[in-house]
Amino acid sequence: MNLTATPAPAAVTAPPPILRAQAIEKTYRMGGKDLRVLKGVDCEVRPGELLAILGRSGSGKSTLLHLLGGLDRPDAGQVFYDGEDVYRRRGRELDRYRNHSVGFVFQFYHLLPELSALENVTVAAMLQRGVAGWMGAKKQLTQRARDLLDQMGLADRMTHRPSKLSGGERQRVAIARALINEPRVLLADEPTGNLDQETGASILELFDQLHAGGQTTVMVTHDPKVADAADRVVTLVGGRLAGEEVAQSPTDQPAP
Amino acid sequence: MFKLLLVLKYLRRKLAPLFAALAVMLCTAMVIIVMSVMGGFLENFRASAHALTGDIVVEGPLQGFTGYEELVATIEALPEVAAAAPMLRAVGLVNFRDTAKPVQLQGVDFQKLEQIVGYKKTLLWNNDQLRQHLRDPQSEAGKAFVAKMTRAFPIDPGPEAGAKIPALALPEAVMGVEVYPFQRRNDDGDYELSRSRAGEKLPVTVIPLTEAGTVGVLEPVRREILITNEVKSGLYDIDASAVVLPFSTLQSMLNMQPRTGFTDFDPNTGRGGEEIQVPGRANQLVIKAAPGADLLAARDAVQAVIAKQWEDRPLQFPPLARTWEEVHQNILGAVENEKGLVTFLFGIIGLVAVVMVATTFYMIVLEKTRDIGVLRAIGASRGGIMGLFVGYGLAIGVVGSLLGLAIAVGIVTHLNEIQAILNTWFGWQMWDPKTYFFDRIPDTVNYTEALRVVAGAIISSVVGAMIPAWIAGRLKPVDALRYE
Repeated sequence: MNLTATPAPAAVTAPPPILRAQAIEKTYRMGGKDLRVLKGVDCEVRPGELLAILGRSGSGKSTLLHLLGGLDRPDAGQVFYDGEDVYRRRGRELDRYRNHSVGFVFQFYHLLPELSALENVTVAAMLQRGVAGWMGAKKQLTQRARDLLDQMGLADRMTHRPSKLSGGERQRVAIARALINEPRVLLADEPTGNLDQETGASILELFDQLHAGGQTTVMVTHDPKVADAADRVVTLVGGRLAGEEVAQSPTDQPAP
Repeated sequence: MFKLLLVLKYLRRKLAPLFAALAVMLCTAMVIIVMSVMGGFLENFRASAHALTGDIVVEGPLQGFTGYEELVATIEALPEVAAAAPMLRAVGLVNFRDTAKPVQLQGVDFQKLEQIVGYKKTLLWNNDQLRQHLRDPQSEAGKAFVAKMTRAFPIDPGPEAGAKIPALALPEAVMGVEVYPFQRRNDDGDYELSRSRAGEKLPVTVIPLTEAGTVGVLEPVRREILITNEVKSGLYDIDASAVVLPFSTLQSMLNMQPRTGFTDFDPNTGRGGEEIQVPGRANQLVIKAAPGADLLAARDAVQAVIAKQWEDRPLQFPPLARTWEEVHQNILGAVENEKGLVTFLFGIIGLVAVVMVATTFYMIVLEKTRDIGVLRAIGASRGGIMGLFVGYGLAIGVVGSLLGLAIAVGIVTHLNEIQAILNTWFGWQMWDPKTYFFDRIPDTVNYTEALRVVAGAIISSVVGAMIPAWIAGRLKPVDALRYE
């Protein structure tokens, strides 16, 4: 499979990180009590790498991913994208960040049930374009969505609604949706967590191919075997960074 | 663009918006039907009221005023006026054998009245009906009618009788169809020709007034008048009390005709002073405005003419000019108020549509919370999400109200047929023509008003969708994604 993705910049020395979380703290109020989910986490995502955030349920890994992706605001600390503080952005700028700079893949796919596979992908391309912008690029963007679905092996499933697709197919549609706007960073929250082992393996293979094509990816998982595919693994325990592990030769690692 | 895509998808694939559209549709249809029927009712009343009133009426004291010929001539010379005629009105008594009934007598010049108000339209029995009845003179109805007409007109009730009936272009006298206390309408709301008093001579009694308006000086006057037709104007006040006579007949009965008199006349000695000409009196003028003339401007011009003519009569109140709408303000105002009230009440019921839409949309927002989170996560703005749901409300408003309009038009324009079917199948008559003076339910849609209702329904739907849309727009993406 030959996947289209943003090529990694050629790095002679260690390139600056695309994404960087600095001293992130996040507390949720649940049942009248404060629950500190993240307690000063530092983390960075380098261009072209596949970073796994490993941790048990409740360790704060999904919260960290949401904060990296602009879905929520940290109580303290900062998130930098290309050196710029993401949370200094307001309103439409932050919406545009979520739409263009990062792409989300969720554990439960989160496809819109009324739309076909193709429409689920193209809708992400419509969001930050007005009617005129969409109509001007409609042909090109629709073709890109078709190509992506084709590359995901869903050429004959484009008009199917999510309810008519299997779990693996839905996740592939979700990946195509995340890639339609050519984001620099793909953020995946337990992308295999809701799939059987075989289907999960095929999805990991997809991520591997995207990574091989230079796509910067951050993947949250509780499964060390899934994390094995990553260039680098950071482990979260109780809302704190507990360790970091770097694969010796990430690009040569076999697909899980 | 995604809003349009999702609105179209949501409209097609969800049951909840269908119910919201149904609520909008029913409320729209209901309000349009009520407004159309009440509006038609009001229009019928207005047409009826206008039919025998003319455009402008000048009303003087009951004992009348002199100089009406000169006044009519001056008024007719006004550019705002097409024609004017004097009228008389008086309280009288009609005897139907041993039954006496008070009536409102009107003295008119039939030719002039026809020119001014087109009263022929209100005549209940036309020549064709009379002839049709006489084509079968041997039937019971035919015999009864011929008997009556024979008393009124010297005709031969033979096979060719129909052709020999004189054309009733100008009746000698007409009366309201409900003046006769024993007239009844059948289940269809039609009057029975066999019960009609048309063709009979009826004794009419009036009490003349002196020039000062006093009663008792002059003896009551009784005269038989030939009723040659009956009037059905649609206004109960007229149809149950009006007896219309030639102007000269009523004028002489009221002792208001021009005549020779004497100054200082002593009825005891029969001697008087100098012989003088006593001018005739009328107590009302009926006026037709010039085509395109503003009625209020015409009324004011007429009133100005009256004021000028009354300058040399400082002790008399000048007659008052009023438009036909002002004359019938009590009944028209009542029906207008009723229409307004009913429309207002149904408008309140229309608020149910707003609440329905708001509730439905709130449910949809709850149901779609995770989708909202997804859309926000992949880059949709708060405004975009709000716009999606407001657009959804707009779509429901447009679909529901246009369907409501179509249903209302279908029902209103076929109301009488629907009533006939309901009557045939279930014996239920929603419009009893015996109760109302109109035989048919008003069945015309006022499209200007209907489109206003449609616009109101669309706005209501958008308003109903706004609060849930605002709630949707305020959802944080991460909270929406976690929503279960």
